[in-house]
Amino acid sequence: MSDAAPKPALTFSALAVRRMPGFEREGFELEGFAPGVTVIIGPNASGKTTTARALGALLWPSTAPGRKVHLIARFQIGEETWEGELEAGEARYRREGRDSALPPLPPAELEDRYRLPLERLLATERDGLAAEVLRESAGGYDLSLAVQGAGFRPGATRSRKPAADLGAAEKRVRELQAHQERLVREEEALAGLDLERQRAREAARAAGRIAAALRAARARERRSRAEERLAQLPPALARLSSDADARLVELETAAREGRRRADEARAELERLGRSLAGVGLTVGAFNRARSEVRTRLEALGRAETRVEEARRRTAAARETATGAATQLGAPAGRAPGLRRPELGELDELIRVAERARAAEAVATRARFALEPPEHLEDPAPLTRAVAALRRLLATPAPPLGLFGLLVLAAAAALSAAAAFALVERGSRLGAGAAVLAAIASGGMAGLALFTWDRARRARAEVRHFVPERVPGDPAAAARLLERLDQRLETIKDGQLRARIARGLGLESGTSPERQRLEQARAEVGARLGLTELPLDLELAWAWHRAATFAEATDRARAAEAEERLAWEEEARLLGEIGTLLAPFEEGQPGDRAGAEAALERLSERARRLEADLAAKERIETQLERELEPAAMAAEARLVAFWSELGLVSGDRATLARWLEELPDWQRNRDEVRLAEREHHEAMAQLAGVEELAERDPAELEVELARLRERAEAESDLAERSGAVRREIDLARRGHDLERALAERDRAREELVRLRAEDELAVAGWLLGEVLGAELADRALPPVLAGARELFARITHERYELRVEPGDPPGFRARDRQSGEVLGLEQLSSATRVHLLVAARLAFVERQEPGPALPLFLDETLATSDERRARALIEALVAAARRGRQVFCFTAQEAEVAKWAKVLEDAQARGEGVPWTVLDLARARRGEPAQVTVAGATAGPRPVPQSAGLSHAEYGAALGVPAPDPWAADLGGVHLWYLVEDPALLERLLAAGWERWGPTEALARRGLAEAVAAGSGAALEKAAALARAGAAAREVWRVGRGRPVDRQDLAESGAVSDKYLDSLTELAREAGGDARALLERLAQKDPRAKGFRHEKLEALEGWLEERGHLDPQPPLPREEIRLAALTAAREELESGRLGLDEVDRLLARLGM
Amino acid sequence: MKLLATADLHLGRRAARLPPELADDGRFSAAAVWRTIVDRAIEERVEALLLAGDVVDRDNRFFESLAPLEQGLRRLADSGVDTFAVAGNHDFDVLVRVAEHLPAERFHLLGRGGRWERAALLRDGRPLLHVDGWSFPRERIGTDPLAGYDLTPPTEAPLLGLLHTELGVGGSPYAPTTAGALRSRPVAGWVLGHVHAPGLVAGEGVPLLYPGSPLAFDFREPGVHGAWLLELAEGRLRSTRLLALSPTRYLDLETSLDGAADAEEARGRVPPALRAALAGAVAEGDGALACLGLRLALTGRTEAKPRLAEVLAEVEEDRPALGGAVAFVDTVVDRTRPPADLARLAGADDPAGALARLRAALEAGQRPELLEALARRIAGVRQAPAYAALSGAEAPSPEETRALLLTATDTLLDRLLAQKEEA
Repeated sequence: MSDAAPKPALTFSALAVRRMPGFEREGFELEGFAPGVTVIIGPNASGKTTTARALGALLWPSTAPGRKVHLIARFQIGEETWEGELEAGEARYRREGRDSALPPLPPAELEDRYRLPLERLLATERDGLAAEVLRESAGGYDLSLAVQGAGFRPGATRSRKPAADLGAAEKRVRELQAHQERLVREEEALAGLDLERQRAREAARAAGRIAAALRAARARERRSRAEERLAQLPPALARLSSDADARLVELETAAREGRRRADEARAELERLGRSLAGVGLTVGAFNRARSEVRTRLEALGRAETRVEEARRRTAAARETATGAATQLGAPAGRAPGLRRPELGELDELIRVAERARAAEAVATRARFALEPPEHLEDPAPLTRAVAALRRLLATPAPPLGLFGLLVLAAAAALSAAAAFALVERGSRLGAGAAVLAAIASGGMAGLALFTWDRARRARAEVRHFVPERVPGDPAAAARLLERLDQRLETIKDGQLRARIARGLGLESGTSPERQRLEQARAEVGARLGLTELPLDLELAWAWHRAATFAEATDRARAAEAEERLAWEEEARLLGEIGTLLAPFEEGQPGDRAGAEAALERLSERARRLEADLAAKERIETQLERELEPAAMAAEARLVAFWSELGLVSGDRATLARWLEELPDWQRNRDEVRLAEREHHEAMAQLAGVEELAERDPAELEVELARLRERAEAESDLAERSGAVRREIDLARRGHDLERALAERDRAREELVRLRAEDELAVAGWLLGEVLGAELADRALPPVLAGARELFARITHERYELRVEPGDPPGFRARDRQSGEVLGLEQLSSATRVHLLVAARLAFVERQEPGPALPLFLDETLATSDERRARALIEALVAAARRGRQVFCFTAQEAEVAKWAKVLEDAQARGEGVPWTVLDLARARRGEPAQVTVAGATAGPRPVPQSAGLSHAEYGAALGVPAPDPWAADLGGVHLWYLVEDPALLERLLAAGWERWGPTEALARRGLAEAVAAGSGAALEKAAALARAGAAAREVWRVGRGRPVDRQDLAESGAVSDKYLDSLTELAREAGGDARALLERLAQKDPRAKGFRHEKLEALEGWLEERGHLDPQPPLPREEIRLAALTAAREELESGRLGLDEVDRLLARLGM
Repeated sequence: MKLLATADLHLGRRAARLPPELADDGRFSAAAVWRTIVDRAIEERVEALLLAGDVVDRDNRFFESLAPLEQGLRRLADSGVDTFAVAGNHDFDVLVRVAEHLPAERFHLLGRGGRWERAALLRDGRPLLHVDGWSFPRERIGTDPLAGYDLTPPTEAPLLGLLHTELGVGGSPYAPTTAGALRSRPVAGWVLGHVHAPGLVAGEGVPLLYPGSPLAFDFREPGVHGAWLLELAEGRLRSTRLLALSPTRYLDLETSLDGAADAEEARGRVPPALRAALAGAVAEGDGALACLGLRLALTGRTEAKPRLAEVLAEVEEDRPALGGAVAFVDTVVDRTRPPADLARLAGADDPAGALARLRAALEAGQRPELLEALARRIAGVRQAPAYAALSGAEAPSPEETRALLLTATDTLLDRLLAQKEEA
């Protein structure tokens, strides 16, 4: 390859990943990209691919993985500093701090020219670059693409589906036709089937007859046998029922019960007879006496009521009289001596007193009305003062005050003086004026003086007659005048009332009415015989009280008389009642209650007598009509029971024996009946052929079996015949075959159409071939020359790169040694990668518009051997030397070392480029990412030769470290544990694949076969072993606490620095066994003297919490092995893994 | 006297080339068309129905076809319509069985056992018409059936001949004869079966009518299909009229996109053409048309050629409907040509130029080696396992091969030019 002229390059210097898929929460930053070569190392899932994609997305935003991406980068284009930011699918760029658009770059579709991850290169089978190269040589046409785009093919389609569809449709037709043909045959066979059915039906009918004959013969036999057995039993059993014993008990009980009830009735009759004879009286006598007594008791009640009412009236009248006397003032216990004839005179006297009292009242009211005031004032001075005040108020107010009067006087004086002066000076006019002024002033002063004096005098007069000062204010003076006028009116009114009282003579003394009243009162008191009379005004009331007293006294006397009469009536009635009760041995009652009690006793005795009589009559009737006949009937039935059986009464032994024989008799009797019925029915079916019943049953049975066998086929035949007819009916109404035929035709048409398409495709393909041959000799473009040169250099001239038209056009590699031309798919994976990288490098170097863009390699060298890797790195370093930035992402330190070696060598030759190695994991932790790698020293360790060594020996040669059984997984174990083939192991180790974790990740990316042929299957097996080993470890750990070391003790917080060394020693002696350590501490090991109990407990708690103490016992080895086998079950079952391989793994892992 | 004539019903079959939504529609079965024929015979008050063989399809001859056939024949008999029939190669055995179940006075199966037979259409005991017929005694008959025709002509009524035969194909296994032989017989006319395309056989003299299949089964049976109404008067066949009773019709439609500037214009031309075709089919139909199948060929030079794929896809989805009938496009063939100046292209030293030169050579009848090469490859295609089920196809003719190459050339040229445009 010849170096092209330098052109501006785009080189990144820093990248900030704020958000990317997988880095949604926390991004990372990377700085210090070298403008030449930047090797970025990082373990799997550390973000290498993310970084590569981020850098690519900043150049081609449309390739960003979604819109939730936020990236910032700094880069140079030539001498200019740029910044780019991609957020939410939008890219912004600033050139030297100002917004700017990127210069034209290759389209995003060509992004794969720059991003060269190993798996993408390995997956490339048809490279679009080849077609592009060819198109370039064909004037811009891509014949292959056109042929392919038109759907042209070299031969018929490989798809058998349309033919299969037709085949299926034809098969369906054939099936349906076969079905119908079978149906036709069955239809033809229907007649025979129907004939067979007819025969079967006839056989069934004949079988019915034979069966009936057989039943008749058998019934006849059964009846004979049963009749014989019956003849051997007593004939009386025909009259015996199975419950005869119970019936006997029932009859005997009934007879006894009848006798008992009759006897009881007779005894009761006897008792009643005795009772009635003792009474000696008739019911009529009782009832008559009772009626008489009741009449008198009612009269007695009425008499008692009258006594009570008379007593009440007497008491009420007495109470009224006593109240009236008390109100009249009569002494207690003494009634007033007034009687009803005297009350009329007393009434006249009271009217006289009333008139006197009325006149007295009138005189009293007149005195009260004309009574004058106690002190009457002299009205004269007050009259004078009022007159003076009225004058004052009538006088007009003076026009001037005192000061004004003096001023007017002075003015008059001065005017006069001026008049004199002017006269003297001869001024007549002036003097005249002055005189007039003096006159005016003097006149006004005189008027004012008169008014003022009159008012003064009026005030003095008022003050003289009344001791009050006249106010200056006219309104106040008017109010004073009003008050003085009222006083004057009061004085005049008093004087008038005094004069009227004197005229009527009301001044004092007792009136004549009063005297008449006193006289009448005295007289009344005398009449009533009372020492004290009420007040004057109550005379009428006293009269009324006296009248009430007299009336009440009269009523009391009348009531007392009535009471006496009633009492006498009571006594008489009681006597009569006593007389009436005497015959019934009842004594004389003392009062009405006693009489009533006697009457009640009498009634009770009458009721008892009636009841006894009625009972006697009822029992007599019952005995005669019911009890005695029933008893006799029961006796008769008992007798009949025995006689019906033909037994002597009470022959229980015979009865018991017969009852034992009765079931047998009944069975035989039933058998006879049943056999007769069956025989009758069977013979009814044999109408016309009754002779059949006479045949031998054995013969009949044989014939019956034969006929039934024939008849049984009828239902089957009917079913078959019905099924065929139904099927035929269904077929006649169906369209299945019609549809199937249509589908077959459609499928055939479709196949014809597809064949026509294929024929056109073949014609087009032929054209493509013809034209391709004509165009094959075109000159190859420069880009191909460049790729060819580079590829030859990488492969050390082993291969020559070619581009050939075809379907599809593609790169080929011609082996210079064998002359064989190989397609991509025929090349080893490493050679394929080299070819594709060489083609891309040549293409971007020669066909790239705009600035030179960086190349991104991702594990690209993982499949290359040492020599070719170096050649490839050298080519890339040469590109970097021409200004193109190169990024290499790898997880393998060995690859870093390869880069470092080439770069250091170039530097030594004076052809160096700026380069750096960045550790992505460190960058993610926020530490400086740049690491120092010396290519000469950091190269991969030489891998020992495996030839002639066993697996165990090779492990020893490799110095494989012991596994950590407490590690989280098997990712850290050496590959030796999982790969048993030493040669393969050597190849993998030579490629830098040493630990299982990274190896598994690379294998998952499909890179295993590219590194070492045959490694794919071996690594699949290794993966199964790793699963088995991990599962076995899980089980192995049960009961085995995690070992304790110094760091654990320090982290526990329970062990101070003082005890750290001694406890570490104890732990080591215990093999890291936490339980053994705690036991030693509990036993007070002298090296831990002073280690306190609470610290021991704290340490124990911490060790348990962290998994150093497991209370469970360790599981047996079989359990561990079982877990391993279960984890790898699928591989074991399929035979991809052997039991012995799992066992060897467990042995290697120490389990 | 009115008669109705039909043949090649192929009861038990149905039209096979239908859009998916109609594929299972009962209207498109031969049985449905048969019912329509029976209805029409009764409506038209014809005296007799003539069936010229292959009434029942051999592939479905037992049940599905017989029920509708028997029902129809009974209805005709009940309506006073006589049926005269001969058996064809498909139903040589079936019709005999059918005849055994039907009243002989109304259903006349003629020529059983390969012997000519005459039956009369009687009205009031007097013959109105005589029909001579011959039935296939087996599936294949390689001899001329007329060789055994020895019936004397009737005098009191006209005579019609009824025969299932393949005309003018010597060595045919389907009772071959010739038009001349038929016309030499003293009959008023012949009603023939076997050919599905309906029509009168060209020639003077006695009219020879192939009623054709009344149901168009697929694109191999284009045009109007149905039953024929015949009128006899004065001993002669006065008129024949095809009643378009087929619910299907198939048509090859060519639409020119010549000069269409772009895909929009091309798109605008196709639907009107489809609708016009449907309108024409409906107008020619007899009210029975339900589905018109179209094979569309687009022709002409158009700028829209590179975008025609979109147009074709849309066209295949189009389902215009009119008067109860719906049209569908079964296939679309792009025979348009790019508007390129082939002479100018041929001057360039690139693939397009080479292709243009090749096309010119092909049109000039040159490059025979290419035709031979293609013929070999086509033979390879036809022998491919995928097409083994289509055995028996003939090799394409040189003209067909050349046409195929020209179509491929146009397509390839179209693709190449499109690359330039995209670039």
